[in-house]
Amino acid sequence: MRVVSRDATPAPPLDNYAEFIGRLDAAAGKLTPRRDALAKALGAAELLFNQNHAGLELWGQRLSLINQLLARHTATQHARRYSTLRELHDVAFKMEQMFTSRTQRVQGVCRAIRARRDQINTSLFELEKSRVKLTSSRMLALERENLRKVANDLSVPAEGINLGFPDPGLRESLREAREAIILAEALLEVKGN
Amino acid sequence: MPTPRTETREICSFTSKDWTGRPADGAGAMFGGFSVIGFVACLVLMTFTPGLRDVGATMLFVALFASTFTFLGILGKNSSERAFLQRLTGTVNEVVLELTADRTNQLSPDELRSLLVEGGSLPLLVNGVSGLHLMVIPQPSPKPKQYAKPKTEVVTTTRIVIAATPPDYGINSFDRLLETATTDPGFNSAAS
Repeated sequence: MRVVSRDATPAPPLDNYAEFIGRLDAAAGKLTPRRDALAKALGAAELLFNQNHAGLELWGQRLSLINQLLARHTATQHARRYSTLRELHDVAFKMEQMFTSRTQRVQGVCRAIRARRDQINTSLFELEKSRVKLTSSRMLALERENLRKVANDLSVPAEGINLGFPDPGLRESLREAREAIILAEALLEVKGN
Repeated sequence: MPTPRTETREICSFTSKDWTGRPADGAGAMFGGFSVIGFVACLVLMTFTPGLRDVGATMLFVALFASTFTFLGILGKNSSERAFLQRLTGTVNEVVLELTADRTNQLSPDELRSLLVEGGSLPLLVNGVSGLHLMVIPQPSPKPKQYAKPKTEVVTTTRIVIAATPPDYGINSFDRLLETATTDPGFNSAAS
Protein backbone atom coordinates (compact mmCIF):
# COMPACT_ATOMS: atom_id res chain seq x y z
CA MET A 1 0.00 0.00 0.00
CA ARG A 2 0.99 3.59 -0.34
CA VAL A 3 3.38 4.88 2.24
CA VAL A 4 2.11 8.00 3.88
CA SER A 5 4.83 10.48 4.63
CA ARG A 6 5.51 10.32 8.31
CA ASP A 7 5.28 13.97 9.18
CA ALA A 8 2.53 15.54 7.18
CA THR A 9 2.98 18.88 8.87
CA PRO A 10 6.50 20.05 8.23
CA ALA A 11 8.13 22.01 10.99
CA PRO A 12 8.50 25.72 10.33
CA PRO A 13 11.77 26.33 8.55
CA LEU A 14 13.69 27.68 11.49
CA ASP A 15 16.92 26.59 9.92
CA ASN A 16 17.96 25.20 6.61
CA TYR A 17 18.66 21.87 8.27
CA ALA A 18 14.94 21.21 8.37
CA GLU A 19 14.65 21.97 4.68
CA PHE A 20 17.42 19.58 3.79
CA ILE A 21 16.06 16.84 6.01
CA GLY A 22 12.65 17.37 4.44
CA ARG A 23 14.16 16.96 1.02
CA LEU A 24 15.87 13.74 2.07
CA ASP A 25 12.61 12.43 3.48
CA ALA A 26 10.75 13.26 0.31
CA ALA A 27 13.32 11.42 -1.77
CA ALA A 28 13.15 8.38 0.50
CA GLY A 29 9.35 8.48 0.48
CA LYS A 30 9.37 8.33 -3.29
CA LEU A 31 11.78 5.43 -3.41
CA THR A 32 10.18 3.26 -0.75
CA PRO A 33 6.95 2.35 -2.59
CA ARG A 34 9.00 1.60 -5.66
CA ARG A 35 11.16 -0.76 -3.68
CA ASP A 36 8.06 -2.48 -2.28
CA ALA A 37 6.70 -2.99 -5.78
CA LEU A 38 10.02 -4.41 -6.86
CA ALA A 39 10.10 -6.80 -3.92
CA LYS A 40 6.63 -8.10 -4.78
CA ALA A 41 7.46 -8.46 -8.45
CA LEU A 42 10.61 -10.30 -7.52
CA GLY A 43 8.67 -12.70 -5.31
CA ALA A 44 6.33 -13.58 -8.17
CA ALA A 45 9.14 -13.88 -10.68
CA GLU A 46 10.99 -16.20 -8.34
CA LEU A 47 7.95 -18.45 -8.10
CA LEU A 48 7.87 -18.69 -11.84
CA PHE A 49 11.58 -19.33 -11.95
CA ASN A 50 11.36 -22.13 -9.39
CA GLN A 51 8.63 -23.87 -11.32
CA ASN A 52 10.45 -23.72 -14.59
CA HIS A 53 13.64 -24.75 -12.93
CA ALA A 54 11.86 -27.78 -11.48
CA GLY A 55 10.72 -28.66 -15.00
CA LEU A 56 14.25 -28.28 -16.27
CA GLU A 57 15.55 -30.65 -13.61
CA LEU A 58 12.85 -33.23 -14.24
CA TRP A 59 13.56 -33.29 -17.95
CA GLY A 60 17.27 -33.24 -17.37
CA GLN A 61 16.92 -36.43 -15.32
CA ARG A 62 14.86 -38.08 -18.05
CA LEU A 63 17.35 -37.05 -20.67
CA SER A 64 20.33 -38.51 -18.85
CA LEU A 65 18.38 -41.69 -18.13
CA ILE A 66 17.50 -42.17 -21.74
CA ASN A 67 21.04 -41.38 -22.77
CA GLN A 68 22.20 -44.22 -20.53
CA LEU A 69 19.64 -46.57 -22.05
CA LEU A 70 20.66 -45.58 -25.53
CA ALA A 71 24.30 -46.15 -24.77
CA ARG A 72 23.53 -49.74 -23.82
CA HIS A 73 21.87 -50.40 -27.16
CA THR A 74 23.22 -50.40 -30.60
CA ALA A 75 21.15 -49.59 -33.60
CA THR A 76 22.03 -52.81 -35.32
CA GLN A 77 20.86 -55.12 -32.52
CA HIS A 78 17.31 -53.97 -31.86
CA ALA A 79 16.30 -51.61 -34.55
CA ARG A 80 12.69 -51.20 -33.43
CA ARG A 81 13.42 -50.63 -29.76
CA TYR A 82 16.29 -48.37 -30.61
CA SER A 83 14.11 -46.15 -32.74
CA THR A 84 11.54 -45.90 -29.95
CA LEU A 85 14.20 -44.85 -27.51
CA ARG A 86 15.61 -42.46 -30.05
CA GLU A 87 12.21 -40.88 -30.43
CA LEU A 88 11.82 -40.53 -26.67
CA HIS A 89 15.26 -39.04 -26.49
CA ASP A 90 14.28 -36.42 -29.02
CA VAL A 91 11.21 -35.53 -27.00
CA ALA A 92 13.17 -35.26 -23.79
CA PHE A 93 15.83 -33.21 -25.51
CA LYS A 94 13.28 -30.80 -26.90
CA MET A 95 11.56 -30.44 -23.56
CA GLU A 96 14.82 -29.84 -21.80
CA GLN A 97 15.72 -27.16 -24.30
CA MET A 98 12.37 -25.51 -23.85
CA PHE A 99 12.62 -25.40 -20.09
CA THR A 100 16.19 -24.17 -20.32
CA SER A 101 15.15 -21.23 -22.41
CA ARG A 102 12.17 -20.49 -20.17
CA THR A 103 14.35 -20.65 -17.09
CA GLN A 104 16.90 -18.35 -18.65
CA ARG A 105 14.31 -15.83 -19.70
CA VAL A 106 12.77 -15.68 -16.25
CA GLN A 107 16.17 -15.56 -14.66
CA GLY A 108 16.99 -12.54 -16.78
CA VAL A 109 13.94 -10.76 -15.46
CA CYS A 110 14.77 -11.76 -11.89
CA ARG A 111 18.28 -10.44 -12.28
CA ALA A 112 17.09 -7.13 -13.69
CA ILE A 113 14.61 -6.66 -10.87
CA ARG A 114 17.19 -7.57 -8.28
CA ALA A 115 19.68 -5.12 -9.74
CA ARG A 116 17.16 -2.31 -9.61
CA ARG A 117 16.16 -3.24 -6.08
CA ASP A 118 19.77 -3.21 -4.94
CA GLN A 119 20.26 0.17 -6.52
CA ILE A 120 17.29 1.54 -4.65
CA ASN A 121 18.42 -0.04 -1.42
CA THR A 122 21.84 1.55 -1.70
CA SER A 123 20.29 4.89 -2.42
CA LEU A 124 17.91 4.58 0.53
CA PHE A 125 20.79 3.66 2.79
CA GLU A 126 22.75 6.71 1.68
CA LEU A 127 19.74 8.90 2.26
CA GLU A 128 19.29 7.55 5.75
CA LYS A 129 22.95 8.04 6.51
CA SER A 130 22.97 11.68 5.53
CA ARG A 131 19.69 12.14 7.37
CA VAL A 132 21.26 10.91 10.58
CA LYS A 133 24.27 13.12 10.01
CA LEU A 134 22.16 16.18 9.37
CA THR A 135 19.91 15.50 12.34
CA SER A 136 22.83 15.22 14.72
CA SER A 137 24.54 18.34 13.45
CA ARG A 138 21.27 20.21 13.65
CA MET A 139 20.98 19.15 17.28
CA LEU A 140 24.49 20.35 17.97
CA ALA A 141 23.76 23.65 16.30
CA LEU A 142 20.67 24.08 18.41
CA GLU A 143 22.58 23.30 21.59
CA ARG A 144 25.23 25.78 20.66
CA GLU A 145 22.60 28.38 19.99
CA ASN A 146 21.03 27.69 23.37
CA LEU A 147 24.33 28.04 25.15
CA ARG A 148 25.00 31.32 23.46
CA LYS A 149 21.62 32.59 24.53
CA VAL A 150 22.15 31.51 28.12
CA ALA A 151 25.55 33.13 28.13
CA ASN A 152 24.09 36.38 26.85
CA ASP A 153 21.39 36.28 29.51
CA LEU A 154 23.90 35.69 32.25
CA SER A 155 26.38 38.32 31.26
CA VAL A 156 25.73 41.47 33.24
CA PRO A 157 27.30 44.82 32.78
CA ALA A 158 30.16 44.99 35.28
CA GLU A 159 29.11 48.22 36.97
CA GLY A 160 25.47 47.12 37.39
CA ILE A 161 26.27 44.68 40.13
CA ASN A 162 27.88 47.09 42.53
CA LEU A 163 24.94 49.49 42.65
CA GLY A 164 22.36 47.92 44.92
CA PHE A 165 24.04 44.59 45.38
CA PRO A 166 27.28 44.49 47.18
CA ASP A 167 27.65 40.78 46.73
CA PRO A 168 31.13 39.62 45.73
CA GLY A 169 30.05 35.95 45.71
CA LEU A 170 27.48 36.46 42.95
CA ARG A 171 29.91 38.09 40.64
CA GLU A 172 32.28 35.20 41.10
CA SER A 173 29.53 32.63 40.40
CA LEU A 174 28.47 34.40 37.24
CA ARG A 175 31.98 34.44 36.01
CA GLU A 176 32.29 30.74 36.66
CA ALA A 177 29.07 30.03 34.83
CA ARG A 178 30.21 31.99 31.81
CA GLU A 179 33.47 30.13 31.77
CA ALA A 180 31.72 26.78 31.95
CA ILE A 181 29.49 27.73 29.05
CA ILE A 182 32.38 28.83 26.93
CA LEU A 183 34.12 25.57 27.66
CA ALA A 184 31.03 23.55 26.78
CA GLU A 185 30.65 25.49 23.58
CA ALA A 186 34.20 24.75 22.63
CA LEU A 187 33.63 21.10 23.37
CA LEU A 188 30.57 21.01 21.15
CA GLU A 189 32.49 22.71 18.43
CA VAL A 190 35.18 20.06 18.62
CA LYS A 191 32.70 17.20 18.65
CA GLY A 192 30.54 18.65 15.93
CA ASN A 193 33.30 18.90 13.41
CA MET B 1 7.17 -36.00 -8.68
CA PRO B 2 6.03 -32.79 -7.06
CA THR B 3 2.32 -32.27 -7.18
CA PRO B 4 1.31 -29.25 -9.24
CA ARG B 5 0.54 -26.61 -6.71
CA THR B 6 -0.44 -23.04 -7.34
CA GLU B 7 1.54 -20.64 -5.26
CA THR B 8 0.68 -17.02 -4.77
CA ARG B 9 2.37 -13.80 -3.82
CA GLU B 10 0.25 -11.03 -2.45
CA ILE B 11 0.47 -7.62 -4.08
CA CYS B 12 -1.93 -5.86 -1.83
CA SER B 13 -5.05 -6.44 0.16
CA PHE B 14 -7.89 -4.30 1.30
CA THR B 15 -11.04 -4.75 3.32
CA SER B 16 -14.62 -4.12 2.39
CA LYS B 17 -14.38 -0.99 4.50
CA ASP B 18 -11.98 0.48 1.97
CA TRP B 19 -13.77 -0.55 -1.15
CA THR B 20 -16.97 -2.42 -1.90
CA GLY B 21 -17.61 -1.45 -5.48
CA ARG B 22 -21.14 -0.60 -4.47
CA PRO B 23 -21.21 2.89 -3.00
CA ALA B 24 -25.00 2.81 -2.84
CA ASP B 25 -24.88 -0.03 -0.33
CA GLY B 26 -26.44 0.93 2.95
CA ALA B 27 -28.35 3.76 1.34
CA GLY B 28 -31.53 2.54 3.03
CA ALA B 29 -30.00 2.70 6.48
CA MET B 30 -28.50 6.08 5.66
CA PHE B 31 -31.87 7.34 4.50
CA GLY B 32 -33.50 6.10 7.70
CA GLY B 33 -30.89 7.77 9.84
CA PHE B 34 -31.19 11.06 8.05
CA SER B 35 -34.98 10.83 8.30
CA VAL B 36 -34.73 10.68 12.09
CA ILE B 37 -32.28 13.58 12.14
CA GLY B 38 -34.52 15.50 9.76
CA PHE B 39 -37.52 14.91 11.98
CA VAL B 40 -35.67 16.19 15.04
CA ALA B 41 -34.48 19.20 13.07
CA CYS B 42 -38.03 19.80 11.97
CA LEU B 43 -39.26 19.69 15.57
CA VAL B 44 -36.67 22.27 16.53
CA LEU B 45 -37.58 24.47 13.60
CA MET B 46 -41.26 24.24 14.52
CA THR B 47 -40.61 26.37 17.58
CA PHE B 48 -39.51 29.20 15.31
CA THR B 49 -41.59 28.75 12.19
CA PRO B 50 -45.27 28.15 12.74
CA GLY B 51 -45.61 27.17 9.09
CA LEU B 52 -43.98 23.82 9.77
CA ARG B 53 -46.51 22.82 12.40
CA ASP B 54 -48.38 20.68 9.98
CA VAL B 55 -48.21 16.99 9.13
CA GLY B 56 -47.79 17.50 5.41
CA ALA B 57 -45.12 20.14 5.75
CA THR B 58 -43.24 17.99 8.27
CA MET B 59 -43.30 14.98 6.01
CA LEU B 60 -42.15 17.03 3.06
CA PHE B 61 -39.34 18.55 5.07
CA VAL B 62 -38.15 15.18 6.38
CA ALA B 63 -38.28 13.59 2.95
CA LEU B 64 -36.32 16.39 1.33
CA PHE B 65 -33.80 16.53 4.14
CA ALA B 66 -33.15 12.79 4.12
CA SER B 67 -32.96 12.55 0.33
CA THR B 68 -30.52 15.41 0.03
CA PHE B 69 -28.15 14.15 2.67
CA THR B 70 -28.32 10.54 1.50
CA PHE B 71 -27.54 11.70 -2.00
CA LEU B 72 -24.59 13.73 -0.78
CA GLY B 73 -23.38 10.84 1.34
CA ILE B 74 -23.44 8.41 -1.56
CA LEU B 75 -21.71 10.95 -3.75
CA GLY B 76 -18.94 11.35 -1.21
CA LYS B 77 -18.55 7.62 -0.77
CA ASN B 78 -18.47 7.17 -4.50
CA SER B 79 -15.65 9.62 -4.98
CA SER B 80 -13.63 8.20 -2.11
CA GLU B 81 -14.05 4.70 -3.53
CA ARG B 82 -12.96 5.92 -6.91
CA ALA B 83 -9.86 7.48 -5.42
CA PHE B 84 -9.10 4.26 -3.59
CA LEU B 85 -9.49 2.24 -6.76
CA GLN B 86 -7.17 4.65 -8.52
CA ARG B 87 -4.49 4.14 -5.91
CA LEU B 88 -4.99 0.38 -5.97
CA THR B 89 -4.61 0.36 -9.72
CA GLY B 90 -1.39 2.31 -9.39
CA THR B 91 0.05 -0.21 -6.95
CA VAL B 92 -0.97 -3.19 -9.04
CA ASN B 93 0.27 -1.62 -12.24
CA GLU B 94 3.66 -0.91 -10.78
CA VAL B 95 4.19 -4.58 -9.94
CA VAL B 96 2.76 -5.72 -13.27
CA LEU B 97 5.06 -3.35 -15.11
CA GLU B 98 8.10 -4.67 -13.30
CA LEU B 99 7.19 -8.21 -14.28
CA THR B 100 6.07 -7.75 -17.85
CA ALA B 101 8.15 -4.70 -18.76
CA ASP B 102 5.33 -3.87 -21.12
CA ARG B 103 3.44 -0.60 -20.86
CA THR B 104 0.59 -1.91 -22.96
CA ASN B 105 -0.19 -4.40 -20.24
CA GLN B 106 -1.26 -1.77 -17.76
CA LEU B 107 -4.65 -2.05 -16.16
CA SER B 108 -7.14 0.74 -16.15
CA PRO B 109 -9.22 1.30 -13.01
CA ASP B 110 -12.26 -0.05 -14.84
CA GLU B 111 -10.48 -3.25 -15.75
CA LEU B 112 -9.36 -3.69 -12.18
CA ARG B 113 -12.90 -3.08 -11.02
CA SER B 114 -14.28 -5.79 -13.25
CA LEU B 115 -11.52 -8.11 -12.05
CA LEU B 116 -12.47 -7.33 -8.46
CA VAL B 117 -16.18 -7.67 -8.96
CA GLU B 118 -16.32 -10.63 -11.33
CA GLY B 119 -13.16 -12.43 -10.31
CA GLY B 120 -11.22 -14.32 -12.91
CA SER B 121 -7.59 -13.94 -13.70
CA LEU B 122 -5.33 -12.06 -16.03
CA PRO B 123 -2.37 -13.89 -17.57
CA LEU B 124 0.99 -12.15 -17.35
CA LEU B 125 3.88 -12.90 -19.63
CA VAL B 126 7.29 -12.57 -18.01
CA ASN B 127 9.76 -12.03 -20.82
CA GLY B 128 7.58 -14.23 -22.99
CA VAL B 129 7.18 -16.97 -20.37
CA SER B 130 3.66 -17.79 -19.32
CA GLY B 131 2.64 -19.13 -15.95
CA LEU B 132 1.78 -16.09 -13.86
CA HIS B 133 -1.73 -14.78 -13.35
CA LEU B 134 -3.05 -11.72 -11.69
CA MET B 135 -5.89 -12.90 -9.49
CA VAL B 136 -8.30 -11.62 -6.90
CA ILE B 137 -8.97 -13.77 -3.88
CA PRO B 138 -11.87 -12.69 -1.75
CA GLN B 139 -11.91 -14.18 1.68
CA PRO B 140 -13.85 -13.67 4.86
CA SER B 141 -11.76 -11.88 7.40
CA PRO B 142 -10.42 -13.96 10.28
CA LYS B 143 -13.00 -14.61 12.96
CA PRO B 144 -13.78 -11.44 14.82
CA LYS B 145 -12.60 -11.36 18.38
CA GLN B 146 -14.95 -12.85 20.92
CA TYR B 147 -15.71 -9.60 22.64
CA ALA B 148 -16.66 -7.92 19.40
CA LYS B 149 -20.35 -7.62 18.80
CA PRO B 150 -21.39 -10.49 16.56
CA LYS B 151 -24.07 -8.36 14.97
CA THR B 152 -21.66 -6.04 13.24
CA GLU B 153 -21.39 -6.35 9.52
CA VAL B 154 -18.89 -8.94 8.34
CA VAL B 155 -15.78 -7.30 6.98
CA THR B 156 -14.28 -9.20 4.11
CA THR B 157 -10.71 -8.91 3.00
CA THR B 158 -9.85 -9.04 -0.64
CA ARG B 159 -6.35 -9.96 -1.68
CA ILE B 160 -4.91 -9.14 -5.05
CA VAL B 161 -2.28 -11.72 -5.74
CA ILE B 162 -0.03 -13.01 -8.45
CA ALA B 163 -0.52 -16.74 -8.75
CA ALA B 164 2.03 -19.04 -10.27
CA THR B 165 0.56 -22.23 -11.69
CA PRO B 166 3.12 -24.85 -12.53
CA PRO B 167 3.03 -25.77 -16.20
CA ASP B 168 2.18 -29.30 -17.21
CA TYR B 169 5.62 -30.78 -17.30
CA GLY B 170 4.48 -33.78 -19.32
CA ILE B 171 6.70 -35.99 -17.23
CA ASN B 172 3.99 -38.53 -16.47
CA SER B 173 3.22 -39.33 -20.09
CA PHE B 174 6.86 -39.56 -20.90
CA ASP B 175 7.53 -41.94 -18.04
CA ARG B 176 4.69 -44.17 -19.12
CA LEU B 177 6.00 -44.30 -22.67
CA LEU B 178 9.47 -45.02 -21.42
CA GLU B 179 8.15 -47.76 -19.16
CA THR B 180 6.34 -49.44 -22.03
CA ALA B 181 9.44 -49.28 -24.12
CA THR B 182 11.71 -50.70 -21.45
CA THR B 183 9.42 -53.43 -20.16
CA ASP B 184 9.21 -54.92 -23.60
CA PRO B 185 9.95 -58.62 -23.29
CA GLY B 186 13.53 -59.31 -24.13
CA PHE B 187 14.63 -55.79 -23.29
CA ASN B 188 16.68 -56.70 -20.29
CA SER B 189 18.38 -59.61 -21.92
CA ALA B 190 19.32 -57.33 -24.76
CA ALA B 191 20.53 -54.71 -22.40
CA SER B 192 22.92 -56.99 -20.60
